[in-house]
Amino acid sequence: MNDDGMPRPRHMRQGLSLKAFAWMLIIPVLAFFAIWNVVPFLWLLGLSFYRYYPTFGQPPKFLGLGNYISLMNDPNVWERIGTTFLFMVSAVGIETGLGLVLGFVFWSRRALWGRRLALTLLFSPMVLAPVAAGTFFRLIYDPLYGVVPYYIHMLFGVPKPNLLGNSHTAMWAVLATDVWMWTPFMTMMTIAALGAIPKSVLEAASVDRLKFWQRVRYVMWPYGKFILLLGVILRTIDAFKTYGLISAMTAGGPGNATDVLSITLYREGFVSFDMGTGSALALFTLFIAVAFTSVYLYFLKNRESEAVS
Amino acid sequence: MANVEFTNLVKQYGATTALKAVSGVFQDGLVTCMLGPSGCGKTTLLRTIAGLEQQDSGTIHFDGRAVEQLPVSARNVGMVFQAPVVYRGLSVFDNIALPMRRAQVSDSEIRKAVDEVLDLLDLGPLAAMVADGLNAGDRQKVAIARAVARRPRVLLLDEPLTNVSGHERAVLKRSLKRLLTHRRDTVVYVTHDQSEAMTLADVMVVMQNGVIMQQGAPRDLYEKPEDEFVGWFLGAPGMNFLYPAKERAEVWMRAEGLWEPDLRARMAGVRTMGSIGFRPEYVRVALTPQPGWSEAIVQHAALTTLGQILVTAQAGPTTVVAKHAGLPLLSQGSRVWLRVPSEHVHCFAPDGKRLDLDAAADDEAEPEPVGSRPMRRV
Repeated sequence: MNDDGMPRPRHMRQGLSLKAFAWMLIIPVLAFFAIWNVVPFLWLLGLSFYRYYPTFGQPPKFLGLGNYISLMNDPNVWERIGTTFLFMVSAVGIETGLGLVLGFVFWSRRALWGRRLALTLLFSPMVLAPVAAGTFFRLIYDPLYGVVPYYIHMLFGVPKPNLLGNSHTAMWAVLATDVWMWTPFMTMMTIAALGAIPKSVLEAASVDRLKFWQRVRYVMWPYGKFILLLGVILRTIDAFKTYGLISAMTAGGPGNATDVLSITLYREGFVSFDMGTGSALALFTLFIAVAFTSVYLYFLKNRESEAVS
Repeated sequence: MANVEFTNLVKQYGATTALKAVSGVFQDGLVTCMLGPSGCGKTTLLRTIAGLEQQDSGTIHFDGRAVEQLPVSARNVGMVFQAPVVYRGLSVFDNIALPMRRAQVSDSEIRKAVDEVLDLLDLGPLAAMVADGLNAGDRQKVAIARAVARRPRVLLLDEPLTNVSGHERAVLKRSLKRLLTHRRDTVVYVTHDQSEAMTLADVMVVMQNGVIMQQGAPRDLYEKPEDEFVGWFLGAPGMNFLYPAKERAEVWMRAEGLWEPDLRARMAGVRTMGSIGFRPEYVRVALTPQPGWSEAIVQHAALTTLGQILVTAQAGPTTVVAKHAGLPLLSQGSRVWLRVPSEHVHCFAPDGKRLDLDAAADDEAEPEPVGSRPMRRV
């Protein structure tokens, strides 16, 4: 017992200082983080300075920045980055656009017939594993048995196209699948963003007879932008490192039409077993992803300062 | 501006009926304050007039034109909500101007209208500031300015002072009074604060359980309540009530010193009395024995914020609250003598409606002898 008659906390009774007790609570998390994040990261960083093929049975050879320099000078890498950005920007752009429209409809038409069922169906693709969805769509696009080539044939009178086997259409076929899978996510974010607008502000806008664009500009955007941006950033990061969907559908082909960075990375590391180049590329990818994240953190910081005022 | 007339408005939320066939007229150019306890339907009535709620049945007319089927935007009403609403990122001026920015309205007209309300609400110095950075009181001023600037047919205010506190609130109340007096708009003002209603109202409406209990000048509602509820609800505290029908005979007799003899006679003649009410501020309190007055024992005395002394005293079986400036702070257990002047005694029928003693007594076959017996049970 101390002066105020309260029992002392157990850690004090056992002679631990508050600081030590706090550390005791944090250490398990820190240890987990260190073992699964920090150590592999440092390992990766180290590997990126060496030439190392684990399958050759030769000791790693130190190259310094050699792996990076050859990556920077490799036109193929820049092409992959271009492909990745094309995929990412198109996917996020289309998904955001469609998501905004669908989200707005679902949000503004509360009494829409079948709204609940439609929402449930709409959100179902999101729960699939990307590899499963990819496999599924490979069948849908199959030039012999697929539904999509069949209807293209029926509607336009052209022979059934091999959409995934053609380097001009493969990217768009994959994109369409990604859009099918992730538009619901942006729809959900839109509904959440619009749901963040206080009821009285919406009512004031209707009493004030604001026009649609005025409502978008002065009511929906100011209240909804952070949730919507969060959705866009999450989608961007995710689209940037898409792997499962593409690996199941085209594995980067035909040629290198759908060869995004994550596919290249996998091939360098686990097909060619070129650990050094793979690691350097992984770090490079990580750097880009961190750049996206910091954009969001920047917006988030603005939001916090806004909330304080 | 317009007359607002509504007839037999019914609004149900699931099992509860918020409006039970409410009818009434809110007059052009007058400030009507709707007052009532939480859940009495006052806000629902306001929102139904605005079009934010759809009535289940009934009609609403603005100057004789039916509007009950029109959407909010076609009714041209101005509304101020409990929570101050400003459009984020816009200056005070632009906030007020935004609803007016339509093809038909020129910039100079907008500027003139906005400047006028800015001036009336003392917002001039803040015109260029970003509205969402202001304090709650100023944000509510902006919301009020926005609602009135475009001259809507009706101005609806839903507890506009509730979310504003302390000094800001007093300032806002004063500005609002000035604005409303100056503009002579048709205003419907919902509040649960009586002093607010008394300050602002030309006409006061008291609602309870989805029904309008009384509508009239504030003074009339206060001095001549048409219903027991109105007498109880208005005033701080409200009326004292005695329920002769429920009291036992001898118990009732002992409180009779409260009434003047002639009133006692007239009350005795009424067979169906529900309750007798009188306001605490009209109870006369004597510190020395007065012949015939009801003797009472002080239970509690306290100083109110308005500087009056609030006395709770036990007069026989009944508890009477009296409120006066200039009374000493009586100690518990001290004796006082009470009497209520006849003109301040209100009688109500068992259904709560006001009872005119003389008219009611006429219905009786023969008046009972003075003081011979207590009020009859119903």
